[in-house]
Amino acid sequence: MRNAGSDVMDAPGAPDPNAEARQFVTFVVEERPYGIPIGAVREIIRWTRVTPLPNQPHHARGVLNLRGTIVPVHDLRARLSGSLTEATDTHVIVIANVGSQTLGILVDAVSDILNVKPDDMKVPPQAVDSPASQALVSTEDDRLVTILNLSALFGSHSDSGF
Amino acid sequence: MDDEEDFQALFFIECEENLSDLQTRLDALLGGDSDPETVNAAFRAVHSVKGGAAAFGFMSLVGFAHEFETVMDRVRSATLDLSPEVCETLLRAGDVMAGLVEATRNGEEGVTERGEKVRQQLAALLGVVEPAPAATAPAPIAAAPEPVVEHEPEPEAMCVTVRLAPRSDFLLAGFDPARIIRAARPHGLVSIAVEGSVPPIEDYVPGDCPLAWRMEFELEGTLADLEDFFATYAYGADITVTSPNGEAKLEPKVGTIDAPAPLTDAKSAAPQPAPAAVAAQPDAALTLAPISSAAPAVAPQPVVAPPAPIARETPAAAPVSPPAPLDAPQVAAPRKAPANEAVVDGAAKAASAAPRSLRVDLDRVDRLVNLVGEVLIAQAAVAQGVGESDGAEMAAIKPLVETLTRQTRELQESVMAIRAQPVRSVFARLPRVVRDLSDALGKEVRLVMQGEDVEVDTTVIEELTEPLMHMIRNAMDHGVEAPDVRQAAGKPRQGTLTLSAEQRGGRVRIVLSDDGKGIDRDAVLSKARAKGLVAPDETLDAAAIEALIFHPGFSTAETISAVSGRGVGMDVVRRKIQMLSGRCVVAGNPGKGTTFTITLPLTLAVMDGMAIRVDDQQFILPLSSVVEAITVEPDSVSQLPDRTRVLRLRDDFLPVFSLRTALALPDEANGASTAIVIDTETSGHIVVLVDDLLGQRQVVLKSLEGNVGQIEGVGGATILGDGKVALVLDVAALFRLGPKSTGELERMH
Repeated sequence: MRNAGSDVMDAPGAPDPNAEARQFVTFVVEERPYGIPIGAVREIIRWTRVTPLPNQPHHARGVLNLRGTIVPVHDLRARLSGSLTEATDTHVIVIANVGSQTLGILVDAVSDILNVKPDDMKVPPQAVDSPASQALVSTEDDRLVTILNLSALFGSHSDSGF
Repeated sequence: MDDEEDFQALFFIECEENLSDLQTRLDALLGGDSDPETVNAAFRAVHSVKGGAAAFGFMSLVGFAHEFETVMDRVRSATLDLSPEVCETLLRAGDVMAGLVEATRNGEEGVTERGEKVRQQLAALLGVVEPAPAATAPAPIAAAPEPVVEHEPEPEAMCVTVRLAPRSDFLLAGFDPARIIRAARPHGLVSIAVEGSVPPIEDYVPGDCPLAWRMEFELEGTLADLEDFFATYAYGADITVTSPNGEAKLEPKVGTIDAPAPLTDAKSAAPQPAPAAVAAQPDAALTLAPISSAAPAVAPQPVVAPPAPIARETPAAAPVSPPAPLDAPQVAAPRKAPANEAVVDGAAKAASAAPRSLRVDLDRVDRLVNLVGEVLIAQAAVAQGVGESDGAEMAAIKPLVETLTRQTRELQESVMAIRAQPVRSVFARLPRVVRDLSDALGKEVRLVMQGEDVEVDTTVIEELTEPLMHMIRNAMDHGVEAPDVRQAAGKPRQGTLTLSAEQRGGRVRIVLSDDGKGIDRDAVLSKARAKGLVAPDETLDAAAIEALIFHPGFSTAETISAVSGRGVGMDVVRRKIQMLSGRCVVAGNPGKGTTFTITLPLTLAVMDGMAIRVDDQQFILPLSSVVEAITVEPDSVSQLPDRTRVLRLRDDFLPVFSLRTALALPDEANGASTAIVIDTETSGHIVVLVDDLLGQRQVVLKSLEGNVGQIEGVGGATILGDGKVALVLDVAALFRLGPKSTGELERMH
């Protein structure tokens, strides 16, 4: 059940049409754009009330029932800047696969899909010692999109598994 | 050949069953069981392995099994006393045979050094009791290309003709003429002729074998070998051996007076050479039943084979039964769940009581379990919907929903019962581990087991093996002292490990205790301090110190031994147990021993729970831990100096535990008045304050492991009728955590 979405990684849309370009789903948190590889995105759902879990980091909002699978939902804003999102019906949860895990990321809104050539992807400056960002992409309208490293942000528990 | 591989796989599965059965029987014998049927059952187990191994030409295995069998035979015929030493040897032989099976499965041949030693011990047993010169050396083994043991001299190649005429049930019993012929080659098969002809298709009886084979041998082994080889097949065929000694009709070997094989064997296990026979299966399986039950009623026949060698295999004390038609010693050995004593209780009983069993892929059962889980959720939703609405139509539907609820529950219980297995299947492997470790560590340890019949879900069983082995290794390495040390401490030289299982409500409790030196608390504490696990000024009570051994990376073994103590010790055990929604605690008694207690749910799929409300959240408490629900009067709670609150319930003072506090939910102004008394199993009863009791329900457990990870205090989750997730709380773990750790950013790893 937990791997049910892993095939999405190879779902249509993910394979790059002109060999090198990569696609990212971008979304907005506190008006800043972030992106994750499109292959990691399983689906996008509207915010729904989640069941909180005890003894968890504060950005873990709880769990929801995604057609029979229990999926944890993390608050990206809380993870990045510390303050919890006051979630409303307009907020969305991006359901993504990280390794063998499926998790949800609470974001303010989903923007669009970004086609990026490898040359346009820049490694973050070394001074930015954040495990969160994998790469920076500047778009045509000159905005800087941070590509997130989801497993560094949220995928902690699976590393210590058996 | 694919078939060949399939049959081999089957053979190994059956080997495992036979070996586990053997282990059980031998353990029983060691424990003083003198029931002849136990000896017989052990003998049959060895024999079945040998028979199967011979069919595939696994010669080292056959060689060893044969010797083993011969000794068992002596025991059976009471020419060999079953002294504890003999028992010990037999047990070790059982281990060696298990090792051989494993090696054979991995494509290795040849007997290990240890195996050779045990074999010599077996041979010595035979030497002591065997007055007859012919048998000072153990009987030659069947079908051996090169003699593994001494055999009588056979100067010239003797010409022998064997006529194999299958009877009607030959193919059904799982025999395959082609395989027999192939296996017979090493005996010096020089030519072969087929007699008879296949009738026209309209007269052909599927399953019958109208042909007979005449095989000529220039004997390469002894005549006894050859007869021994063919005697295996005499159940299903008329076999005549013509040698210079005269003509003899072979009788089935005495060793295989097994219960008629359960019908399923013929279906699933029988190698099927002829397509016709395959087609005949379903009908044949049914019509054969009366034949097999009738067989034991026929009077026993004496052995007729004139040459001595066969008779040597046949103790005079045990009359040979008529062949049981369905019994196929090679691959279709009786297949049974270890607990099914009925099958091995001798031919006569088994004929009437042979349980019909079915081998089903676990995946299929799991699919069924999952479906039932979904049905349960849907049913809960219906029940909830009906319960919440009123009106005339609903009143009519309510009783129907109740019926549905009852039947869903029955359905679920039946499905879960399919998956239940006695813990014996795990326990049975452990005596061997203990013996191996005793040798490796130079310690003398006895393992006493109780409650092997307690049934647990298959998943739990599978996952239980590793932690149990680990715990046993730990107890033997760190717990039980060396014999000399024990003696000096005034204990018996032999240490005792006691392993018991018992069912308690919806959980199974497994206790492993040793009578070793206990946990050296000072050593544990100083080690923990040295490793920075405990602050230098922190004081811990005895239980807290002992619990340190579960800390990852903690190991007090001064030297890293091959047995345990690689620093991946007890924390792995605890983690594994926690993954199964279980708990694992230790209690040491310095100088006297250590006791590990594991409690596990009987099943991991469905659970009876008590739904409660705290704040605006619904939670499920496992019903098995709920003792009673009470109303809390504010003045019945008093506060102790350390701010613990206690409640007087009848004559006891119980600690009061607020779920709101534990779950870091806002406090309710007017104070909770409803509470549930929970049995924590480890810390006695506690009073848990809740906001509301919503009632009892059956929930389908969903693991949090995969996507969320292990959360201390949460045993799992379930999906409510409205689609929301409700957490299943492990109150005992929450309570142990105490209020101080709640709200901390902590995850269990």
